Amino acid sequence: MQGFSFFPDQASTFAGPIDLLYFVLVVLSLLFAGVLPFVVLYLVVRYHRSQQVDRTNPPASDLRLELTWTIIPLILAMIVFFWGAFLYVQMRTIPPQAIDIYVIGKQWMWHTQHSNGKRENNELHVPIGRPVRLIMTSQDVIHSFYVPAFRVKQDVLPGRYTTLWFEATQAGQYHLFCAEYCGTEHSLMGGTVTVMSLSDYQAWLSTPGQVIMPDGTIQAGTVLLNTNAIPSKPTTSSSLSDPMVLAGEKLFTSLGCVSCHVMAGGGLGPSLKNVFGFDQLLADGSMVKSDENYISESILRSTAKVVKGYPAVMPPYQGQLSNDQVNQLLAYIKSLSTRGGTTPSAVPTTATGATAAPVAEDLVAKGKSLFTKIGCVGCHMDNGAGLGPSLKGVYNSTVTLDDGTTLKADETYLHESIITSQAKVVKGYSMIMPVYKSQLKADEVAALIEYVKSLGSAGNQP
Amino acid sequence: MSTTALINHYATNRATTASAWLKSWLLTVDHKRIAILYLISINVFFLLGGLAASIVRLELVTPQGDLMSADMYNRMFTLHGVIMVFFFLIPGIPSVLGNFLIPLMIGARDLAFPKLNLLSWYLYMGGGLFALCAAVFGGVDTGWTFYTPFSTSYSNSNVVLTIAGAFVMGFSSILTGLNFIITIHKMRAPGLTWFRLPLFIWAHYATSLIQILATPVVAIALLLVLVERVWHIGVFDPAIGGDPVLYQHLFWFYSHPAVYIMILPAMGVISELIATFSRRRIFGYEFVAFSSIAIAILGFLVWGHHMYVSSQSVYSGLVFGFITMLVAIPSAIKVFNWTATLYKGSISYRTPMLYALGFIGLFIIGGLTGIFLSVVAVDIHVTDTYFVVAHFHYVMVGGTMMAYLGGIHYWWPKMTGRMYNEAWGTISALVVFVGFNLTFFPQFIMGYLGMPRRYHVYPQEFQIYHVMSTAGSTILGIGFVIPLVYLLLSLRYGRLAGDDPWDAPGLEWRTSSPPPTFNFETQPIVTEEAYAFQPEAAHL
Amino acid sequence: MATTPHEHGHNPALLHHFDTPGQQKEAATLGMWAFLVTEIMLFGGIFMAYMVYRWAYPAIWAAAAPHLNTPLATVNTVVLLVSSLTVALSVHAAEAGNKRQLVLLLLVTILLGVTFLGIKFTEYGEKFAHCAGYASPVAWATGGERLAEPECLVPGANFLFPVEALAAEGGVTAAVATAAARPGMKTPHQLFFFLYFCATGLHAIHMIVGITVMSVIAWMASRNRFSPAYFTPVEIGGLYWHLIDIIWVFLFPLFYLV
Repeated sequence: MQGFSFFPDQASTFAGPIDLLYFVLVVLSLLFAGVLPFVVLYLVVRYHRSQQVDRTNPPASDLRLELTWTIIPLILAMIVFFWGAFLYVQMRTIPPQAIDIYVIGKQWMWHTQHSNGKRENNELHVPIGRPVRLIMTSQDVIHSFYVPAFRVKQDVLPGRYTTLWFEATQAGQYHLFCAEYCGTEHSLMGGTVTVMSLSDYQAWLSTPGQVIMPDGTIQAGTVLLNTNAIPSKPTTSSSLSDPMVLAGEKLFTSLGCVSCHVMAGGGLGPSLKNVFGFDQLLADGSMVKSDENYISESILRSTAKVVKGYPAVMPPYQGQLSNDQVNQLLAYIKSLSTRGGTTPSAVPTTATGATAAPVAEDLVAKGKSLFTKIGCVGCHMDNGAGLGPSLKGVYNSTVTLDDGTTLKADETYLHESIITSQAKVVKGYSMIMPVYKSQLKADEVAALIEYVKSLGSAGNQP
Repeated sequence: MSTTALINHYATNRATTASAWLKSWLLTVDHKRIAILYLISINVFFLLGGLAASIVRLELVTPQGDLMSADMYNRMFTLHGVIMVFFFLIPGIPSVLGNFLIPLMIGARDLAFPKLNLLSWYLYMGGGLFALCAAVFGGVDTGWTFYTPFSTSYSNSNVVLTIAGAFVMGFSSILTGLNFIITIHKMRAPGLTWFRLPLFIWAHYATSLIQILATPVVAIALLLVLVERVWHIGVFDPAIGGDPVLYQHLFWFYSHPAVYIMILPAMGVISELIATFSRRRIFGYEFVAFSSIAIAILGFLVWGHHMYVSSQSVYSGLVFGFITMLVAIPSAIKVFNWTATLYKGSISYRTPMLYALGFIGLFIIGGLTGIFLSVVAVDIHVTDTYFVVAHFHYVMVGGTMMAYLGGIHYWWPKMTGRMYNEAWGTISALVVFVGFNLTFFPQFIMGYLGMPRRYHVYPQEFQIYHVMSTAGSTILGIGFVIPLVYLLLSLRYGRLAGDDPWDAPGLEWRTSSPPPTFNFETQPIVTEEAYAFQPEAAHL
Repeated sequence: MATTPHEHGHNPALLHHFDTPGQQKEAATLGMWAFLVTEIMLFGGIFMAYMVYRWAYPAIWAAAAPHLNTPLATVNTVVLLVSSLTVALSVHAAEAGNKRQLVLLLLVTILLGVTFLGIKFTEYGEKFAHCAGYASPVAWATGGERLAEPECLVPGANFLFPVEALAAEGGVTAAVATAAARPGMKTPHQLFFFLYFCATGLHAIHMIVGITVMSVIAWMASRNRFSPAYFTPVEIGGLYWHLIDIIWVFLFPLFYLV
């Protein structure tokens, strides 16, 4: 986006239709704004007091004219309105198979949490071609989640949930802004939305990163391994193996919710099976749709809307749970309902265990997946026919560089060759490998190195 | 008449000592003197607000926050917003031109409640003093909208004083509106029926209705914020189940109609200017008159269009979007009728007319982009971006400000008895027009590209638009300073204007310039419609 | 140059910028009506907030309302209604030119207004005394009887909706209610009481203004400022007083009789 442009990147299914509507509005506006000033200009010149023109019988008023310029703009306005309304309803109708991602705004940062528990700060990774629903709340003031390239924006409020959906279409990195003024560093409250292919997204979900544990603490560097296959089609009920659900379930048990909300019914509180998404009859006879807002209100201010037939005995949890924990409980309660929506991480399972430091084998596996994902494998082919040297047995071998010097390919060299790839190129190969310095995190580089090491070292071919 | 003589002119009793002179101003109940008090104080506030705007624009020349800290930037744009909205745009035209002209135009000796009128000015000054104190003692960083819970619980700035200022100013506005309504109802000269009233009066009548109906609602909303901020507990606090969005509803229930408080009087001014300098009765008088009332009524039903992305239901989004579309119609009617007035007119390019023509051009753009914003699907993308900033500046500065300047020039001879320098007037009108467009047009483009508003630092790619905008604002600033200079100089050096320098038929021209204390030597009796211009032949 | 072409020596009450006393009176009355509209819009904001939250938390509203002092408020309602009557009669007396009756009725009105405020003050005092742990304002001042069951209905850090009331609200067990009822409890009960204090407080401020206005009018009446031909201040002062009453007539059922 250099120099002049009139449209931002189009990276969601909304972008095209909205830009079209905008374009039509611009054209319609030009009909008025481009013509009317010239009419004014013409009249102003023609009827300047110095002009000897016919000024007899100037009309005082003309009903036909008045009606014309009332009705034509009215019709145009209505066309534009209904077009816009149609689009708007689409933008607010969330497809049932959408992937849920939780977003928490706070001064001045965005936390996003994927349903496998993986958490990001000021970043959001989303797949192409799959509707994504953001379930958002704020810890403090009002924020607004805005991704210009998707043409979507939604205020994020404290004390309640708002939602937003989009379907990304174009891989790349886009601006994420906070659009509602939120205090001192408002303009720094933003980051990047990364759109990637679905398979890349699945792979990315299992890379090491921050994970929120059921007790609300954040474990850094944890790996969530993805051993399941990517489902070609989303299943309609989410899996209990979803780590965020698991975390919610653990919390549900440890807080003692389970002793009243007996799954089979008959407890002091209602069973939470098939609650989410269904209408609930309240004690005062009114109905309420059980959505994120109702569930979280019932947790935090439990006596506000009590389901008919149950005593209002649940203590309010306001002030005792973090937003993250409420989100986990939500995820769990949603997983108990057939209308709970789906999560892509029916995919990732296990290996959450609170292992703060990943074991080497995990690193190798992760390195391997990265090696494929970022496309290393395309050049560094095992048979040596690729654009880059085969990496089999490279570790600790002696390599000759194109300036004729030789060195030992130890970890330092591997590291350097990845992040500043063009510094020391092996003789016989061209200097075409991209520099990964800003694109890989330290732990990803480490994983790659572990993988390369696992391919065997000099004199020790596996 | 020398400057001093002019200043003394408005005194009921010729002042002999300095303190008597001061008293004759500060305790005056003459609507014309009060209008002049407003003129001075409002222009001082305008200059302060403009200063804050220049600081904001200067900071935005580079994408980094290198000129000032984020906190300072936030205080500056808030100061700009608070001063411009509450202390310039809302009182601007009604309190200065309306105050001066309504009794004159309807042939009355004063407003219905002259003491209340003076009280309004004191409330305005009191509110302004609060706001200025807030700015001096630490400033305020909430934006002029004071959104909760930021304003109630999170901001570390002088919210209380600022809100108190806006609150007090609100009562000034209510009392002014009340005064106008009663005056227009009860004080018209014999023979001056409703449909003989100048359109300026119709516009001010519609404005006053909004002032008395909407302002109390924002007053109570601000009071609730104040209480919540002071006692740390209140109705907008989500922790106890309160809803911060309720504040937005109450706020916009006032603040959207307030937009029409700002623009309707401007439309009234433009009607007068176009009629006089085309020497034609406004085409479709009834349509223009009733469109003011229609805008005022519809204006009460569209507040939700400020909140499309604030968690409003789809249903209310559609309803508010639909009604907002309807507001476009009476606005369009006005523009078309003004244009038609030019047909077979006898047009002269005097400074007020240049401002009026500039108004039409800018208001067309401001109004049309309003349609973009009322289309919910598009608004979701552009709300809270520079697109909105550009839109409301086109309406508020391109509309209200242009009309204010045009009106001041048009009635300057009546207010002071002196003509200003026409050449400089023409130059300044052109400079303002060019500077304005250069400042705000690039903001539409960068808004659609996604540049959020109220950003202290911003991504590199938007810099080119910000640089253009800042360059334009420099020109605009110069355009505002030029009239200040030549208008003040005209007080001493301007040639005497006479009673009716524009050869206009309105009642305000049927008395001396400046008018005597009770406006007319003899009670005028109206026998004609408004805008009954003399035949052209006498004028060539 | 500035001369006054209109001589009004015959009627000192006619201001120079009006043509006739009739015009002046109409302007004043219409002005007052317009002002009353703004007052209604001012309270309208609070009523709107009340409606929104009552709709959101009906059960809490029902539970909270009985904790206001309905008997005192009922007495207050009667006091205000009587005062409206005396104001209406005073306008009548002014019209009839009966100065003695006019002054007397105005004084009775003022007295009723003060009574209303006194009762209101007692009501507030009770709430604050409870927060301090005393049974009544008198006990608070004298260090007397303590409150048996802790309760604090003044919104804020010490807010405490009584345990047994919480329990009664929906059959909450005592243990849970005790766990929920902590000082400063963040529940929508606070909203109810906050709105109660705001609405009645704002009304009380209007009452104080009304009493002041009535005092000025009574003083003017005693100074023979009014006549059957001119008693506009009595009339528009009366309008204002009626408005204060009407607002109370809405506040009373909304808060006390939910």
